[in-house]
Amino acid sequence: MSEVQLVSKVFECADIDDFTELAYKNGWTDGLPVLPPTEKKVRAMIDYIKRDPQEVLGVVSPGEGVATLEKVAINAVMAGCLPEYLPVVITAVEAMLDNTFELMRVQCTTGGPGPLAIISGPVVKKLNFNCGEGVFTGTGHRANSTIGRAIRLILWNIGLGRPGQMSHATMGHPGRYSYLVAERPPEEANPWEPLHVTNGLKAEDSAVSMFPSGAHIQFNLGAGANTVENNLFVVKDVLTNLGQFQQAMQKLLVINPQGAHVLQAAGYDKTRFRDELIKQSVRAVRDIKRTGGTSTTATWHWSKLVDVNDDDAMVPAMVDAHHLQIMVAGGWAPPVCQCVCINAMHGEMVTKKINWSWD
Amino acid sequence: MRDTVNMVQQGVPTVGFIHEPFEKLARMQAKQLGMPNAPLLIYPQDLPSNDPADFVLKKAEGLADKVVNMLLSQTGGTA
Repeated sequence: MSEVQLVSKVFECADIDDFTELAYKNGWTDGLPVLPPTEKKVRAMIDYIKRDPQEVLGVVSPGEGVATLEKVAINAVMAGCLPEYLPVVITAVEAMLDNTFELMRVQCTTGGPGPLAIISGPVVKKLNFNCGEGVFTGTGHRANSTIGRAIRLILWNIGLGRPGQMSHATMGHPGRYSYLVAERPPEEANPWEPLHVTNGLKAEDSAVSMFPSGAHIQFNLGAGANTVENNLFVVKDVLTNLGQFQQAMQKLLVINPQGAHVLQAAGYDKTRFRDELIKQSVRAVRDIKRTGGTSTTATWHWSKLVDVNDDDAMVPAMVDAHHLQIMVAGGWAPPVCQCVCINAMHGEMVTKKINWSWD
Repeated sequence: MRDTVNMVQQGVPTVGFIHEPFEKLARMQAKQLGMPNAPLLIYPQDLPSNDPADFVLKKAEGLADKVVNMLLSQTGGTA
């Protein structure tokens, strides 16, 4: 064990039961139990990455907590992470601190989004992330559950994003306990370009993309059970529902591998599928006028995109290719072909390379 | 709130303009930033789309007066 200096306050606990009650009493958890961040465990994290524990990643809104590596490691231990997961957690924090993500609004807005961590690249296999069946749920895969949980605890304990205090989520998001999805790598039946490659990284890179998720909608694509034309019609309907449509905003489609293969075989690679959806995903001004409430100062508010006096004008749900992110994950699907659509809230997805090799 | 605190620290007359539902957030964040008494103007919770236009205008004018008074009070002046 190293001799690097840790500066966090030390609490004495008689046993695990004592610690559990202390954690609840001091508000160190959102309600689920956490593990004790012992000096031994925290040092093991710091020793693994061989960096100064007082190195600052940034200031986490709205609580203005300083995210040092030591504080990040403590929360990772509390979540149950292994030391080799820490580079992933650090990268996730770096992504959320990018201004494009708009962490302040993500943490505090009444919309109550849940930050989704998307893991892609060789790290998926190296750390044994589940990218198959039940990909969004607890499947016993430690990397998925504990890294997602560490991100949540960091936002809770360093960022103080706590409903009833500085977070004003009207409903909140079920992903605000742990929300992570891993993309199938090419050798795991993904026929399409990996998400991090679409966003400017190399195929051999590993990456974390943080997505400020609003709605999480499972829908039936019907790939293989209907024509591609009708598949596109169904997805367009999901992408343009009025409950999410007062401004153009970024969206994430998670397509299961069978659906992706069917589309690929029909001549739709990811780019063609995406571009066709962007083109088709529009709604008439007369429909959009029946919604209301979103500030007209929003960057892509519908009133800035078309002539508001022309009821026949068509408002785009997305303004460019970056607005529609597509990835392949999940298990085998029957003909109804379950997929997921997630819309961004306030900020946009930020992709960061994980600067670490686990070799 | 970061902007409010930064501007006050630079000696610029400042008012943090806060919608009532976010008052707790603003005050807690100001405290976290080391300025629990940051100059804030809390405006009432509203539904501007449902309120009559003349009511909204009157409210905006009243708040504008308060903003001016708060700014001038920081410079020693009066409206």
